[in-house]
Amino acid sequence: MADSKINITEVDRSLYDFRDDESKDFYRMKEGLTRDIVEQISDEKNDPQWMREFRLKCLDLYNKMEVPNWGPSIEGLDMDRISSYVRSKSDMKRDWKDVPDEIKSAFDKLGIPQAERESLAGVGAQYDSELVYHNLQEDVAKQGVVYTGFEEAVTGEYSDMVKEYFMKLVPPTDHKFAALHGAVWSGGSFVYVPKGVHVEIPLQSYFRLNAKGAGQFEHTLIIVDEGADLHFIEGCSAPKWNVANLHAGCVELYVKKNARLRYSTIENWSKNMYNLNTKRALVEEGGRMEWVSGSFGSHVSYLYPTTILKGDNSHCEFTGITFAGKGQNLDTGAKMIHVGKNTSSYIDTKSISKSGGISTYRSSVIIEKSAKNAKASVSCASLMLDSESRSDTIPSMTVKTSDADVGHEAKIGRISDEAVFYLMSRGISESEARSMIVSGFANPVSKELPLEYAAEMNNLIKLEMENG
Amino acid sequence: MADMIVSRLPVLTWNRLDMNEGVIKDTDKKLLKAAKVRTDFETLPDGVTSRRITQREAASILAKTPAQPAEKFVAGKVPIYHAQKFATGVGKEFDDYASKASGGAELLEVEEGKKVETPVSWHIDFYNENRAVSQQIIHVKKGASLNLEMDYSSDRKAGGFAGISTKVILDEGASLKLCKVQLLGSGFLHVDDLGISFGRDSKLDLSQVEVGGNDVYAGVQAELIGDRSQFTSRIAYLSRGDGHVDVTYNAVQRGKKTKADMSFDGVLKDRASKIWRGTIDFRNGSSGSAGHENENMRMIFCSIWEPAESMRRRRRRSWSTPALTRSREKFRTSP
Repeated sequence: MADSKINITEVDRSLYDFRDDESKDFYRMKEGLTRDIVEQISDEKNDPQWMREFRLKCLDLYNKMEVPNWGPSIEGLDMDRISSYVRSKSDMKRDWKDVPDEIKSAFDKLGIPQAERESLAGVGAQYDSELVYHNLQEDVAKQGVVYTGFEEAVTGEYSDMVKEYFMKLVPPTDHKFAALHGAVWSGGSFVYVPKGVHVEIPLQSYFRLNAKGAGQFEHTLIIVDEGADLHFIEGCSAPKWNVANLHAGCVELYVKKNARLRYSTIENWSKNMYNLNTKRALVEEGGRMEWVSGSFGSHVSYLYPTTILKGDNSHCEFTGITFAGKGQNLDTGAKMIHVGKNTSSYIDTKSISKSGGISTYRSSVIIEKSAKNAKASVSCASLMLDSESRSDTIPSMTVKTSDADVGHEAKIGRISDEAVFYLMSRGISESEARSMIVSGFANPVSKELPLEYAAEMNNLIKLEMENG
Repeated sequence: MADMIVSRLPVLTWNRLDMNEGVIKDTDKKLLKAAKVRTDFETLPDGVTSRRITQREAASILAKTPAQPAEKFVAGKVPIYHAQKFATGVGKEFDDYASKASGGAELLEVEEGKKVETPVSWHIDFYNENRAVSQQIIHVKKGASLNLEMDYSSDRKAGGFAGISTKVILDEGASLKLCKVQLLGSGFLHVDDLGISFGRDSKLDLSQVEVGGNDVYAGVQAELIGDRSQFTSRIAYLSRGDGHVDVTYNAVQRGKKTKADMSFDGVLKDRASKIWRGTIDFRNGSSGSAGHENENMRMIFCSIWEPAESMRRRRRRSWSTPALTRSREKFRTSP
């Protein structure tokens, strides 16, 4: 029993850790970030001129901007050793049968085709830098819903709409890695839900980064038009390599008047990954944005989905969990910017750290002068499973009007011996008791996830807590 | 124009929020000419002594306090506290300045085992148009207790700079009830810097009131080093006009079963602004410790309260005014 108290194992990542042979049927751009490389990516994509110029402008910005001085160290990330573009020599397919076998096998192992058959309205699968599969159910397409690869959208029927919205919400001037994204973005999804359309079952994009020493820079743009409703799920994973990989994606979400968007993510990158992702939503009058976020993987994460509550009576909820294990420094949280009247936001996060992992919850709530009668509530709870681990909570609140109600609650602690003792007195083993306490702690988040993701998250937690 | 960086957040966050640190601008104009403040207590209870000490003596006394383990980085990268031998809330730059400008400190000591029930009042008058710094060391020895009330005031509409640096050493089992009331004139820049070193089983009950001045920087660093040490604090502030209040409280819980309980209540009126940084930091070894903080703030746009002259000029027994620059003001009072 004494042993079981200290033997908390690492997650069995074999489900995600399989690697594919990249030596054949793959094209890989040389490492580093130069004007030539950016132009090559632009050539590969057949970018329109405006996009080519945009990429080069972003590269200039990237070179001028400083690395953030406030977060976890990213000294181990050397852009001269990162290839910004790796793709299969096969084109994007609309039928799993046509996807190259080794890639199909990877997504089969992750259960994506099965999920598509059973519970999704559409699926996009990105492998390294390019989408390899994209499909939307016919009846959903008939409603006018557009779900396509982002590059197709840039050059196709929706090019004007893309040009209007692309990197307007996350401008490349925002931070160094937004500029990097603007320069080398590749792949991703474009979704448009027309006015009044309710997509009854979720759409899903899955991002798999297989290549060693590579970066993934997908761009996701979702526009949910007036009165429409969508649930979008994003999943990501990668095998572990002994060199750094980089994920610097960008997600821009537009929630129009009285629309609703739920954006769920389970991020399970390998522990050599630098996850420097940027996600932002703009919510108009009466709109509703819901974020559900689970961060389990990566070596270092900087991830703070931001919501701008622009319209009056708009609302946002953020529910998130972060689990930092050995060698991980996960800096996650959320930002809410209240602009409209009677806006409301609610942040509820949990973080768990173990085996020397560092988990930081960082948030910002800004109530602008115009946001009369705004309401904001932040609740963050952290659980440290041992004395080597670290947990920081850094919430900030800026209130510029007197007509606002803003609250914050934070708790940090370790599993109470009394609670373990109580459960053990009821005949439960110590390890089971600890596992139950952690699962209970995470429950408010897991119940917000789609069933299969909740099961995956609970499984990850269980594996973390099981005896060696 | 030299700026002074004060009240750094122990762990940095987004720079664009402008909350990682406070900045006192143009210190060469506002601070450098600061005068010394002298305090002479007329009477003190038995077992309590006061004397003026040199900066060297002050350093020697502070060096005897329990060591604070150095931790220069947090989360692998970000520099944490600036190296201070005796950590304070406003931080190293102001502390260095105060040491230099005050040219020494007032040492108030309570002898071992002495329980002083009667409140000791300590008034510091900054008068009008002064630039002055006062540095105090309060040492409550083993098993002793003290109830100390400090207040700082000036003429009602006076301006200037009032710097206060207070360092508290609580030996094993010592207890201090400290009340700090700031009633300065509406033009003052006020910096109140406090650092506390807690011995085993020691307690500090702090009440801090900031109702005067224009720009106010109040910082507290509570180093709960001794096991079972306890820190309780309440701060109330009021800021009006274009005033700004910057409050930074860091409770660093290092000992076992330590407790920190901090509450912050404030009112902003007109165009006044405030920034509050509250940190509870549980360090390795602080098992069984608990920390709690609570903030309430109201923004109002109607006239609510002006500090009454009678209150500003209130005097209590057992103290005397410091000798400041010799300008005379009509409201000056003497004991």
